[in-house]
Amino acid sequence: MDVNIQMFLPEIVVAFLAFAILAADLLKPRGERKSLARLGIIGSLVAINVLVLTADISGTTLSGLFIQDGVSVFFKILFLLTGIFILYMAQEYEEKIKNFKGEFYALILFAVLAMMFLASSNDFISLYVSLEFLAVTLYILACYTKEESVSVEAGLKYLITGALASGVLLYGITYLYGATGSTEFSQIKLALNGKNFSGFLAIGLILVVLGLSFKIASIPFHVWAPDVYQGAPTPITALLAAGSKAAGFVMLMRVMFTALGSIRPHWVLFISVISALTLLFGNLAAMPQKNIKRMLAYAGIGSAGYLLMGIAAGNTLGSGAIMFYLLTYLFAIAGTFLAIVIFYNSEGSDSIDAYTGLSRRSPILAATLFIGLLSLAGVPPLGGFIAKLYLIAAVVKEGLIWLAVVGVLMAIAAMYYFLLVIKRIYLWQPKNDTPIKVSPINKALLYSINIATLVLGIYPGPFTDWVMAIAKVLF
Amino acid sequence: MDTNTCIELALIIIKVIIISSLLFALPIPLTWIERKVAGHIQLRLGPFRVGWHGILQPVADMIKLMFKEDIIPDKADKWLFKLAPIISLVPIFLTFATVPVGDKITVFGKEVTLYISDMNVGILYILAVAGIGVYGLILGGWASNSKYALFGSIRSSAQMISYELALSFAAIGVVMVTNSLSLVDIVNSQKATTWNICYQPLGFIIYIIAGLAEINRIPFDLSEDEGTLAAGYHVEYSSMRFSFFMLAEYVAMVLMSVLAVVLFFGGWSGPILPPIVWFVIKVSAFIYFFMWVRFTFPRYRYDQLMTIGWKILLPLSLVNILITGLFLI
Amino acid sequence: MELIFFYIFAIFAVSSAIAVISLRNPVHSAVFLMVCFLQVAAIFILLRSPFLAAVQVFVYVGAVMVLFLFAVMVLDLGKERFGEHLHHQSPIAIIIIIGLVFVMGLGLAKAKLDAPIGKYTEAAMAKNTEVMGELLYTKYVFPFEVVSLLLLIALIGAIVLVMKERN
Repeated sequence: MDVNIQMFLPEIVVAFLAFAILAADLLKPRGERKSLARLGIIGSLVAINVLVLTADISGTTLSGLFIQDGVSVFFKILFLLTGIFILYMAQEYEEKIKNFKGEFYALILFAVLAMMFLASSNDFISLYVSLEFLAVTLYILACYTKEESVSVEAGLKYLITGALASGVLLYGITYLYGATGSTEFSQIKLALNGKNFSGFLAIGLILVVLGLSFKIASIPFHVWAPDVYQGAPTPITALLAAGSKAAGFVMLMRVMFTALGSIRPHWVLFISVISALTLLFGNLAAMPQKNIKRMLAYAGIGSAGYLLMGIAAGNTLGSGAIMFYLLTYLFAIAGTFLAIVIFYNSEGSDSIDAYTGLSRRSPILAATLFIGLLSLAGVPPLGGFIAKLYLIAAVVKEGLIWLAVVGVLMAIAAMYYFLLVIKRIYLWQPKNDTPIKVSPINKALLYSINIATLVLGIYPGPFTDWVMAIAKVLF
Repeated sequence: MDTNTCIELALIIIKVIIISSLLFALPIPLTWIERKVAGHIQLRLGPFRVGWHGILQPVADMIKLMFKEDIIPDKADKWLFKLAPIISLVPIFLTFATVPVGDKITVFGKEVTLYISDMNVGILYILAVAGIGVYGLILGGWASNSKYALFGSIRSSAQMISYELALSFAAIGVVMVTNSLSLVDIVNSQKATTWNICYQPLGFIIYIIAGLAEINRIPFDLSEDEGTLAAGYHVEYSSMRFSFFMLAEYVAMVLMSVLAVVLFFGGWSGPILPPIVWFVIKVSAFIYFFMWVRFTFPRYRYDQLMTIGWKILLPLSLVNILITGLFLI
Repeated sequence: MELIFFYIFAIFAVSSAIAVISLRNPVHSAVFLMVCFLQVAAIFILLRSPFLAAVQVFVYVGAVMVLFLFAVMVLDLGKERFGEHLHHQSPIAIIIIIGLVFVMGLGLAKAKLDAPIGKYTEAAMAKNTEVMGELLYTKYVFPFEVVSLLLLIALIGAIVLVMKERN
């Protein structure tokens, strides 16, 4: 057995960090647990450093079940950044959780660890167990505020749909194994060479895609998203939106491009239809929502539809665009949700009504929501616009004009409902105009996230070049 | 099928018939012995009226049980109520499929093995299938639709969840020493060296305690605690269905003794006497031990039972595995 | 001969699985779930995997026990009527099931198994447990470690969700 420890050194760092937080929690008295989050943030920064230093060592290890390449490095950096944002948000949110236990921070890090494993999975078995690891962690986190019934409902719904989807995925994997005689992605690719498209492959393909659609919250396993997004603690909602979705797409990219890339003509229509339906459902259902987390859930379903366009395109441009989209999405989500957490801490409400006239009460929160929501909607010159542009260009290049048309129309729909919120924030009069206090650190963080979103939109060149270069390894 | 496979098949059937009729008959002497042991420990004589020293007492009891009215409570879950005694009886008989009584013997020039099947997962099979038997008590207690029976059944399920772990971990220590899950291999490896009790003293203690709990005998018989639950899970049962439960309990005791002998005391191995005799002697010693314990110890309280299971036995069994692993390295 | 046994086990497994989801009494469902698992274990034996069969019985027997306790302690049997308020969903469910069965039937009808099978020889099957143990600790060590982390997390999660912190 070959073991190259340098390839999974960042994972070891994160695992040790999570265990260290678990142990440190025992020694800390109540109310002093914010330092655990700080420990986690510092440790994650160390892990990013380790990752960057060892990034040039690529290849497979652990009997070919673990792969380190450009894509996995990109996603691991993305996940660690997500983890840092979520940990920061969590320590802001801590007081709002009754009976808070310090395991919260450790569990967030375990979720990040699971996502890093997913990014490196080169085999259906390691993919499946990493996926379950992530799912179990998220089930626990989703119902962490168990004194509130919505949170328990969120955890239960997430668990039941998740278990069903995982069964479907596993069933699909067995068919693919039956058709190709292997679970390793590169072996499956070899086995599919010059082979007819059989019924086994078709069933396996359909079931695997349906099973994975749970993680990315696309049709048909999208129903959990609104309730879970609304009920889960806000930092966990952000983790589900930014992290879990990205983890779902790195799996989809590896499965669809690396393993099943050679039979693309057989699945392109299937994925396109799912993508179009998801786009339509997510964006149209977001319009009447009254709760901001719920609206973002539907918008998140819409985003999954956009990202699936990149899968349907099945080319380097498409997969590069997916990575770029997820990068801009992370910053938009981080800014928006940090603003939501700060607002909730002060006002105790998530309903869109409460946001009326926010610009008079806290210009910085209003500006963050403005930039974050418009980036999610895809308005130039923000990062989200460039990402959507690339995705639409990718499907046009492959001749899926109808899908591109749906994408453009739904971008306009997204603009409509996000602008309704922004109109409420900027143009309406607030009911009470006491200013909302934002601490200097939070202010600095919000400014830097906003600047990052702007930079990704105005000067995307280096980033797009980077993701396009690493997207090649998938094919 | 050629003649050879026919003979093989016939041999297996004969062995199954012999073993199951033996197991069906065993409780008859065992109840007598148990009552005699109880009597003498408590300075009484025990049954004395029917036959020489009361030796026909179990036969009389059996006739009485058979002719009693078979009562099914009105509000019981009829289907499960009837099924439960069978569920508790069948698995415990199935486990004997892989119990080795001795090695090979030659009968009429043909080699015959003294076990029905030497599975390479023997010990796992026994623990797994014996675990199904507990469902008999649990479902029976639930189906009776009586408070006492339900309490018995819930106690029994909690007990099983807690003690099966320790029991299996104790067995894993033996498996680590002998490098095999097959019972025949385990005995043979003890013949080559010494009995496993020398390598696994801690494992043996855990095994015996968890085994007592697993077969619901005093001091762990909380599911049929006469003091607080009348008769626990079988309070509503009478006649033949009741005797099924009793039969299953005695066979379970035999199984635990057999497993203790095979895992820790070298199975059928021993000097001078033929292997089967050694096997019977060792098993009888353990059966006597179980009876002795029954009339010596008081019953534990329910919370004590849980504490022993989770806070003492489970950590100890993990430590046992760790120590065994360190020695093997 | 083996084929006959396979069909017996398969038919029992499928019909008890259907019984699990269609019976109204959760305890009866739990019993049928156990029957279903036992049939699957029997199929594992037919496939020359006694280790998997034993583990199937071992692990799932415990799991059914937990289900039984859940049914007895959490649900108020006799008063609870499951699914009665979900009747309007059944037509959709039936359509989806028929669709799935149709698609899978179509796929299976077109299917033929041409992948290389039988990587393990009869000799390796006889030493089933050893082969499996060796693979777990060499080739599949990565998933094995991930699973151990998963179990740890499940343990921590159960404690975190149940325990109340003392003041």
